[in-house]
Amino acid sequence: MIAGRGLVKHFGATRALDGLDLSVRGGEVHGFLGPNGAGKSTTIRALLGQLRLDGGHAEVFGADPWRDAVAIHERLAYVPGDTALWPGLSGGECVDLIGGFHGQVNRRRRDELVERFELDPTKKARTYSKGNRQKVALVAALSCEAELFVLDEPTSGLDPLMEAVFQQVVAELNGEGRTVLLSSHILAEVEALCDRVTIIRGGHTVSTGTLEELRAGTLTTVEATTPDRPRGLKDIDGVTDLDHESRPHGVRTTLLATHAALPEAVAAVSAARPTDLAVRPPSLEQLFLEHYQESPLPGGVPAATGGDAR
Amino acid sequence: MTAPTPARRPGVLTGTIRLVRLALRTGWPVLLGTVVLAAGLVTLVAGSIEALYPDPADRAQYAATVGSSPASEAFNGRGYGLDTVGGISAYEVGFMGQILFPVLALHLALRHTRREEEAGRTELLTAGRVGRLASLVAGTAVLTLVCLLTGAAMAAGGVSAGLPLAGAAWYAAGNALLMLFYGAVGLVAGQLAQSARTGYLIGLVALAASYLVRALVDGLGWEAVWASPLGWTAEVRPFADPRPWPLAAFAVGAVVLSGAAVLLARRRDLGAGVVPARRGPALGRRGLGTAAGLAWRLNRGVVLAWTVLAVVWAGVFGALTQEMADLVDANPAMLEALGVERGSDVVTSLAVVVVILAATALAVQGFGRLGVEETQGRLGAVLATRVPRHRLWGGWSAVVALASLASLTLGCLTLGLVTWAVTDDRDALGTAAEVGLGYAVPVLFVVAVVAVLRAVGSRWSGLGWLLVGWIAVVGFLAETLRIPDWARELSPLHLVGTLPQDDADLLAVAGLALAAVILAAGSILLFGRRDLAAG
Repeated sequence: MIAGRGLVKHFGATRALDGLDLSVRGGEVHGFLGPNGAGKSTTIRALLGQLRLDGGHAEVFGADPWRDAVAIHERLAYVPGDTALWPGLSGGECVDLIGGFHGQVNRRRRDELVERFELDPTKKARTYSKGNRQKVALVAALSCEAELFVLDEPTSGLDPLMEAVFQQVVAELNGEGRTVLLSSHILAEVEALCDRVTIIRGGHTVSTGTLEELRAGTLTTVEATTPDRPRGLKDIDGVTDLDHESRPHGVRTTLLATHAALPEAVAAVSAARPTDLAVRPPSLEQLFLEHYQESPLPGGVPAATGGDAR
Repeated sequence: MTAPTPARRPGVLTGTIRLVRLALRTGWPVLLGTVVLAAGLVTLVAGSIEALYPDPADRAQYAATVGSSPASEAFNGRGYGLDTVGGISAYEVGFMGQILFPVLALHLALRHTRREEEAGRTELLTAGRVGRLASLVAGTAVLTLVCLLTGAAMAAGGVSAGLPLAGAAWYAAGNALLMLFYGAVGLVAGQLAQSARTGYLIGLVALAASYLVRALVDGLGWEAVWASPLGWTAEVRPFADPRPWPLAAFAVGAVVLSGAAVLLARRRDLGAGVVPARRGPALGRRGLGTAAGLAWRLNRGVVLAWTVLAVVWAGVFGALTQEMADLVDANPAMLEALGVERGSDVVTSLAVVVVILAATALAVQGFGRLGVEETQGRLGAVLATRVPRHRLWGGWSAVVALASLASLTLGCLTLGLVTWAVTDDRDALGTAAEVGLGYAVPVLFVVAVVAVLRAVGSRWSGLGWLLVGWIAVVGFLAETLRIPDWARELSPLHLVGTLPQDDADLLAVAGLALAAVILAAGSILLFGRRDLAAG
């Protein structure tokens, strides 16, 4: 659906994209994550043909986004993170105007979405709050008959109820086989919707894969209380931060294990007949913080990390 | 053009017609206003001239005095066929037309291209079935349509005011193409600049340069009418012996400029300009976090632009004084017709009006910026801090008022010094200083009026431009349009008198000063009591 390899984009001296890779498969919801200024919106606007890439190769539906922009746009719908509307037009007019430019609108779904997002389509756009402007953009884009939905922080400004509606609608559209590229900072949204995610930082891709695969690249915490100290843990490759602490009822053991070392580590702990055992994968927050912060890059130093979790 | 025409690339023009329809639907009041304003000015002037100079003898007298004064030629451009009503009308529209018509077109071009893009609406639409060049081409189409309509309305208005059909048609064609040309300048400026503001600046600098070049060429009588596009309009000579070359020059120029805009648009990123945004300082300067500091930081570009315009303007006209004054002084009939004692006074009085227009336009823009701050919610953010409303308002008003006075002072001083330098007449400096002093209070009065309009709310702030426009109309066209006295006195300049020819009416000065103080105090009260528009 979308294939980007080694994307490069300069803005003057700033290297906004620095060899970024992104691949979105047909029929998936693909999460696109990264800290502020990582290049998410730049990538999306390059994929829409609104920016001209300085290097790398990008394809959307197998076509060049700069040359064949309009042909690509016929098959996708887009929601920007901050929606500018026509102040003098009503919300309903704005929806139909954007839909009109897209060309293929599902009228039934449009009316249904206006209802579900509780949008008052008769108010003038200049009187809308940020959340309501965002709803206009969402209704307009999601009612289009598109194969691909490109959503750039689409729920910024929405309340939690509307956020839930958004997740339902995206899940439904995905259920019909449509593809979604979702740039988001809301981790619950990413966890609920996304089949695969790509994490970028400083203009290049840090990791990409399913959430399980990403977790596989990180360390799991194991905590156990056993009558006696478990044996052989020290010798397992991939076990770190091993710590034993004597307690009145036994020994409290904590350790960090890589994905590969986990079965062996758990087996070793089990062999010591634990009275209490907890195995904790990192929370989503931890996972992302780890990827966002890992080896901070001073502006524009090339790093040859093409996705360490693949 | 050597580049392949955009139509050959499939896709880049998709959606143009839809965008044109959208532009007409959302922008029709401004488009209609442009047509009415441009055609209305010509119609009113023509009707008035018809009544002022009904006899050939009157017109011959006009041609011999006003029409052959180099001061008027520098201001209005060359006059042809001044023994006809049409010729005099075209001449009298001169200054206003050369500023108004291009500015209207420039505004239209930027409004329908860069401003939409800057607001983010183009981004939303070009993610749909809209090609890369559609926005620019739609803007060009709207511009062309409005220029055509203006031409048609202007010709019809001229004929209805009694001008001959052929002359009116030539004249209207010249002005419509003039608009198209400067609209195309606006299209290029909109591609070069990343913000509409910078685009306006580029366009207005180009226009001011064209005007000053033309003023020099015509004021000094050089045989170089081709040097400035603003000089081409008169060379159509619609009411004498019409010549098509200026029309062709405008058309070719407009096509070349639009082609350049297309070339730029094809290569650049959406939302970007060709001129990259510069980096700013990492630290805010001391005092930025105060009311006056904020006002200065946000207005300094505008202040600088208008002040430079006022100074350059005053310098150019000061430099022309000698030639003009000699010719006027040698002709007692002309002195009488112009109502002056010395030739140099004509130049001073005409040049000062423009300096004042710059100073008051600065005030309108300065308070306009405050309105933008308010509707965008940024003012609300500032007022959510420890700054009380009256202090923010007071600081902003003080900066705008001082900046207006500064540009008036610098403009008048420049005029006086340059006139002194070229004429060796030391009194010139004193005269210019007196004129500046006499008009300082009217300028402050305008600032106070604009402040009150802004304090009442965004809906009325456009009226400030109306006041500035009226000062210009009364200053240049009061006699031509036979404006009744009561209406002339709506211009604070006219209340004080035409300086330096008249003595300043001190009673009027005192009244205006009192009114300004009351209005300024009222604006603080009004702004303190009303709701903020946003934020």
